[in-house]
Amino acid sequence: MIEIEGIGRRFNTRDGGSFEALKDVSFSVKDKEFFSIIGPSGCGKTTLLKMVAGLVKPTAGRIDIDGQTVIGPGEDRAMVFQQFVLLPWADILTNVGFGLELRGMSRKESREAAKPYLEQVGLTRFAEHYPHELSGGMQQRVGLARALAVGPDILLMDEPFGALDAQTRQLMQEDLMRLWEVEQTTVIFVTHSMDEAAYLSDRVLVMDTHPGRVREILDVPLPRPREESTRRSPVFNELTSHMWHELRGMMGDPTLPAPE
Amino acid sequence: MRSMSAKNRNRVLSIIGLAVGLAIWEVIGRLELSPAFPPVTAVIGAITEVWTSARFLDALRESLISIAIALPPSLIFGIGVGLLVGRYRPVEWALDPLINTFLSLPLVALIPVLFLIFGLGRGSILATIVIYTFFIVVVNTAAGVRTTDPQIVEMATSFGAGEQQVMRRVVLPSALPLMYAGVRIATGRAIRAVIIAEQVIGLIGLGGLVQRLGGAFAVEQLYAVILFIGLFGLVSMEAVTAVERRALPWVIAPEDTEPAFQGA
Amino acid sequence: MVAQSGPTLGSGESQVPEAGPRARANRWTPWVFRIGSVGLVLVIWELYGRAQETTLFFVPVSSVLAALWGQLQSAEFWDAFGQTFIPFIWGWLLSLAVGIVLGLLIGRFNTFDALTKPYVTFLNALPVSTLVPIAVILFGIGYASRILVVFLFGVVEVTLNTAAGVRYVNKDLIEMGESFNASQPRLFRKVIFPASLPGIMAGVRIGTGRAVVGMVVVEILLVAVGMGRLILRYRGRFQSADLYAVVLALIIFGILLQVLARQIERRVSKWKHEMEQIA
Ligand SMILES: Nc1ncnc2c1ncn2[C@@H]1O[C@H](COP(=O)(O)OP(=O)(O)OP(=O)(O)O)[C@@H](O)[C@H]1O
Ligand SMILES: [Mg+2]
Repeated sequence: MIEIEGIGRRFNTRDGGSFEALKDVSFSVKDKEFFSIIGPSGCGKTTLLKMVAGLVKPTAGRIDIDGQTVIGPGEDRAMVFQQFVLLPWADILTNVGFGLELRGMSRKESREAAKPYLEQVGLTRFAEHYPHELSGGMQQRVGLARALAVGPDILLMDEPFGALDAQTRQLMQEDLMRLWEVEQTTVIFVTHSMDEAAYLSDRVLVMDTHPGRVREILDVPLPRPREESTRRSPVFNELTSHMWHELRGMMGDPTLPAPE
Repeated sequence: MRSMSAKNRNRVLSIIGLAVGLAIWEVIGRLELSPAFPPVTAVIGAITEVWTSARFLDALRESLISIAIALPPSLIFGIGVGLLVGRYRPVEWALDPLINTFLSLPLVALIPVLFLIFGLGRGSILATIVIYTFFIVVVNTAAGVRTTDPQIVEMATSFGAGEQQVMRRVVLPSALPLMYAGVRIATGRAIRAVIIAEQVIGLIGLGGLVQRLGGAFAVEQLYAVILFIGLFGLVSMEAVTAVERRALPWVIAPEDTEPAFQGA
Repeated sequence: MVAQSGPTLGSGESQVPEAGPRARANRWTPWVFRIGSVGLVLVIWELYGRAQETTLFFVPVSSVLAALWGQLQSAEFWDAFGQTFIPFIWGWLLSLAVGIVLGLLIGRFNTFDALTKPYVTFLNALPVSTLVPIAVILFGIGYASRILVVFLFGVVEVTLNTAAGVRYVNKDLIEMGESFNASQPRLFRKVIFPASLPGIMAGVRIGTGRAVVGMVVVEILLVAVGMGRLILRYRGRFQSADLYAVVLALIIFGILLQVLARQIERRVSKWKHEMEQIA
């Protein structure tokens, strides 16, 4: 259980003042829950996620995971990045094993241990290729496999499919669903896409901006396993158009995709 | 990308250019316009004799020994210092003025001082190699460190990496391409350094041989030695580039990595 | 099973420079380090020099500066300086002129490039100092051979950088010129030359550095006149402080020329940059 209690974050600005990115954010995420965060650009989603990861310190409030306060990165969490962030000098298998290597395994052990995860994302064939030889979608599968390989209880994903084209994105969502059902981890998933949030999540946090706050938390009453047809159900459409109205009210960000 | 035939055409042209140049040289030599230009056929004739002579081989060995002693530690320390300079701002601040001074001053000018301090012998030659190579490796390594993608550092940190691991697993590999470019430049400069220092001493090594042959007006032999030194420089650079290509499989054309600084 | 803490802060935050009250302190910290380290080196130089039993080999910085001051007031020094400087100027200008012309030809005409490639490649790999004995055999040890050596040192870098500058001129720009039916010479003057100015100026800067090296090599290897003669004489008379001073003068002179060349390069490149912004 992740409990976020009264989290705030200020950044110093260049002119000597300070800027409140997040203010008094409180919510909790249950074990094995798929929890999405959606909100206008700049509302502090990435900052919030990095605080859960232990990469950024809150300036107010605290984050408890199973009763223990987060003070830095930990073995129970793993992150997936929007820009994939693979090591360009290492082959795919080494990349997948990188998290394990950092946690003390030798290069050889970590490569061996990485194999099943590479298999899970369907890239065994590319074990000895370098990242620049792979498409964006494949690279993000590597990023996902790298996170899964360390066996995290909590998967933190920051717009993981944001850099992918629409078709690839949809395929990746389905793969992620399938993997999540097997792996049974808690997921906090930041996205700009309302479809994605509705399709994947158990609950969706809609954030308000300036400063970033909780606006509302929506339940997603869609049955699992979710299928292609889920996207056409009335509940799905109702949810996405609800989110759309909320977000459009906050700021006219033209990059937000409208629901179909 | 040039087509294969264009490449061949250029090769043929290069050979023609070389042949024409050598022919002109031969004519000038035959005309005996200056003792500085003996006929090129005489130079070619001298090559085998010179390159196999004991005097030449001794000189070559001397020069190689100096490089072998001075270059590796200079490279290793240069890389170490470069990593620190690139990663830690206070180190950068402290060393920048010194490094910049050494990179912009004409290093040859220091040779007379080195001779005072280290004497007219190998010590001075080694010192010359070190000042010619150390700083160039430092700046290029430091520039390489600065190319590290902060996102990768953050990724590693998110997986629990500490500063040591970040240094070893992220910063070092990120710095490699420029580091190797620095090593490539340093290799060329080490050859320059050893030759000039030996020339100033005038007795030992290939540089010493050049001075002695020049003093004796043994022009054909002199050209043979100069030719060897130039070819040796070319081959060394090729060798470093070949190693570079093997060591950096993810860089498409490592030899095209522009060094951050070449030095004067 | 939670939060085996790593370092407390990630780089996500340290990337951003702190502003506010600390910024003021930050502005000065680098200078504290810079001045501190240079000061430390000078102090060590001084103390180590004084700790020597003799000033024959290692001279403390204060004595070097005093000797330099003395040198700057002696007519003999300026005489020697002139002997060194005049051939340098000629060799340097010659290397720029020849290097720029060759570079333009090599960069513009593939045929010329291929014809000259063996020479350029070889000369680029060859330590130029090995050609000093040839220069002496050719011209003796007078001005001509000094000019030749300085020239040889400078010319290769100027050529290579100019050629690179021309080669990377935007192809669209050339096509644009051709579409206006510009003649080759006009195209060269109006499009190619201005567009390759940054490469040429880089060549001028690096070539200047190399020419300075050539000048010093002349002084050290051909010791008959100029500052090299002073160096030789002070070595012979064990006037080490004066030897250090002459070397320091050469170094300062070399650095000043570099700074000058860099200044010119910056000005020309800036002008070029502004032109592009307007266009
Ligand atoms: N290290 C930092 N220093 C200063 N300001 C920061 C820093 N990190 C984030 N911010 C600011 O905090 C606010 C929230 O940033 P954050 O990246 O968390 O937003 P986001 O919701 O992820 O935006 P996006 O949807 O565009 O990714 C932004 O205004 C950003 O400029
Ligand atoms: Mg973000």
